[in-house]
Amino acid sequence: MSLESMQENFIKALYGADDGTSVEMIKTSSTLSAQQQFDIYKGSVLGTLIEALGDIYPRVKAALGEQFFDAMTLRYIKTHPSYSASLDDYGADFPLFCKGFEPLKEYAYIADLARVDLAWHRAFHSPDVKPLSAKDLERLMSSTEASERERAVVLHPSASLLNSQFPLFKLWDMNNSTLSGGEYDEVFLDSGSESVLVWRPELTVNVRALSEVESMFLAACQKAMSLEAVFEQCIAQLGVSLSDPNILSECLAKFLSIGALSFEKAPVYQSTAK
Amino acid sequence: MAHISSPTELEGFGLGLRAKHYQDILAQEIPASKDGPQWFEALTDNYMNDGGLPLHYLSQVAERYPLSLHGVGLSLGSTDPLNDDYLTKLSTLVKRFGPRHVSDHVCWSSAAGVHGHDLFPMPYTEHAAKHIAERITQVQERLGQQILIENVSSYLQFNESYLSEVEFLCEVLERADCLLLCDINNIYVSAVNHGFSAQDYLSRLPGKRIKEFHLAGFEDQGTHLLDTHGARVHEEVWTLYRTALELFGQVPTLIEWDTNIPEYSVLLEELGKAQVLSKETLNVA
Repeated sequence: MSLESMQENFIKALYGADDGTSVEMIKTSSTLSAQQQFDIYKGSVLGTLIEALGDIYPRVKAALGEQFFDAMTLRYIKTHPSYSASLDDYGADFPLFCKGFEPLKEYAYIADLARVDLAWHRAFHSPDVKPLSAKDLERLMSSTEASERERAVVLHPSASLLNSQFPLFKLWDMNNSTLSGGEYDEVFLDSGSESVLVWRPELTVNVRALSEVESMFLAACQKAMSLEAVFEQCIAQLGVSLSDPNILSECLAKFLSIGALSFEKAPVYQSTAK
Repeated sequence: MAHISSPTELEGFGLGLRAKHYQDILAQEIPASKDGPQWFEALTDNYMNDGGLPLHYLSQVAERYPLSLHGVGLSLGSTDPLNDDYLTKLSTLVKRFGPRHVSDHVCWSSAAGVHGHDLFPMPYTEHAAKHIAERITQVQERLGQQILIENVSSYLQFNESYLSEVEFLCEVLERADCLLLCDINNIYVSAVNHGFSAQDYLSRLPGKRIKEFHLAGFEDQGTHLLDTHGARVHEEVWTLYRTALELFGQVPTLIEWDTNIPEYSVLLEELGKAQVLSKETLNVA
C-alpha cells in the first residue's frame, strides 16, 4: 500500500469510517492486538477534539452538563472532521449542529448560546486593532477631505453582533457565572429577546446586552456606510415618533467609549510594540 | 539552494511555557537565577493567531528569556502538500521572536486534508524516510534555518516497517541535515511499548546532531505506557537521562508538562533534579 493510501485510510478510520484496512496495517504487539493499538490513537484524537469543543463552547458545556456535552460533541466530531492544522479553527459549525440536534429540539436557545461562545473565542484570537476613539472621529469629521468625512465607521474587527429571540445575554451570563462558581438569577426563557455584543478592544473580551436602538445602530454600522448614512438609516427605521437624534448620538458616544467601533480597514498594530 | 543557518545554541535548563504559569514566570527576578530556568519553550501552535492575550504574554516572556518554538502541526511525514498557511504563520513567529530552536516531530498528523491533531508514527521504511526528509528540507529552506525534529512516543508499529525506529531517525537526520530534539521520555515509552532497548537506541544516535533533550512523565496503563506529559519524570527516565549525559555530555534540557499541569514550583523541582543529576554525572562544579 502506498504511504498516501495508508495515511488516508488511517485518518478516516480515526473519525469512524473504518473498513478494517487500517487495523490490517498494524503489527500485533505482545500485549495489545492491532485493534487495541489503533484504539489508543482513536481515543486520543476524539478526546482532543471533545476537549477543544469544550474549550471553545464552555458555557454550552455548562448549560448541558459534561456528560451530555461530551456525548453530543462525539456525534458532531464523527460528521465534522477537522480540516485545519489549528484546533482554534475547529467546531465553527457547532452552533448550526446544535440547532438541528434532535435531543435539543426543546432547547432552541442552546444554538444561540453557542454563537456567543464562538464569537467570544474569535474575539479572543482576533488581530489587535486599536478601536476608534471620540478624538479620532472628531478629527475625521473636521477633515477638509470629503473622502475622510465619508469614511465608513464599522464594528471593531473583533466584534460580533448577535440577535436572538431569547434573553441571550442573561442566558450567557448565567452559564458564565456557573463556570466561575458565581451566583446568578434564574432566567425565564420567555422574558423577551436580547441582542448581544461580543468584542475585544484591548486584551479582555467583553460581552454586553444591547437595547433595541443600540442593536439597530450596530447593524447599520455593519454595512460599512458613512456615519451620516448610519444615522439616516436608523432614523428611517425608528420612525418619526421616535426619531430623537439624541438617542443615536448617545449610542455613538457609548460605543466609542467602550471601544466597539473602528474605521473600515483599520491598521493592525502590535499591542506590545514600544 | 536557499541559505540554511544553524541555530544559536541554547544553554542550560528550560521549561515548557504554559498559560497557567505566565504570572509566576513574569514575577521571577531578572537576570535569571542560575538555579532557575534559563529559557522557555513555547508551543508554536498556541501562538499562531494574529493577536490577543497569548501573544501578549509570549512577547513579555521573550523580553526576559531566550525562547524556543516547539510545534505539533507541521505534519512533516504527511503525504499532503506542506501547509503553506501554517508555514507562513510559523515564519512570522520566527521573525518576530527569533527563537533559538524551532522544532516539530518525526510524525504525520494529517492526510487527505483531514487533521488528527495527534502525532502518528511513520512506517519505518527507506521510502518514508526519504519522504519526510525532503519535506524537512523544504521547511528549513523556507525558514532559512535548521530545525530540530523530535522522536515521538508511539503505541503501534506498521507491518510495512523493516527499519528500527532509531535507524529510521538516523536516516532522516542525515538526509535532511537537520538537528535532533531527543526526547528521553519518548524513547523509554516506545522502548517499553515495542520491546526494544532504550540504551541501545540512545547509543546509536548521532551526538553531533543532538541539540536538546526533553524530559516528561508518562502513565502506566498496564498494557502499555501512555505519554501524557502529566506526571513527574519517572525513575527509569532519569536513569536513561544519566546515560544520555554520559554519551553526549551537556545538552540543553527541557522539562515538559501538558496535562494536569501542577503549580509552577513542581516544575522548578523537576528542573532542579535535572540540574543535580547532570552535575553529578558530568562532575561539574
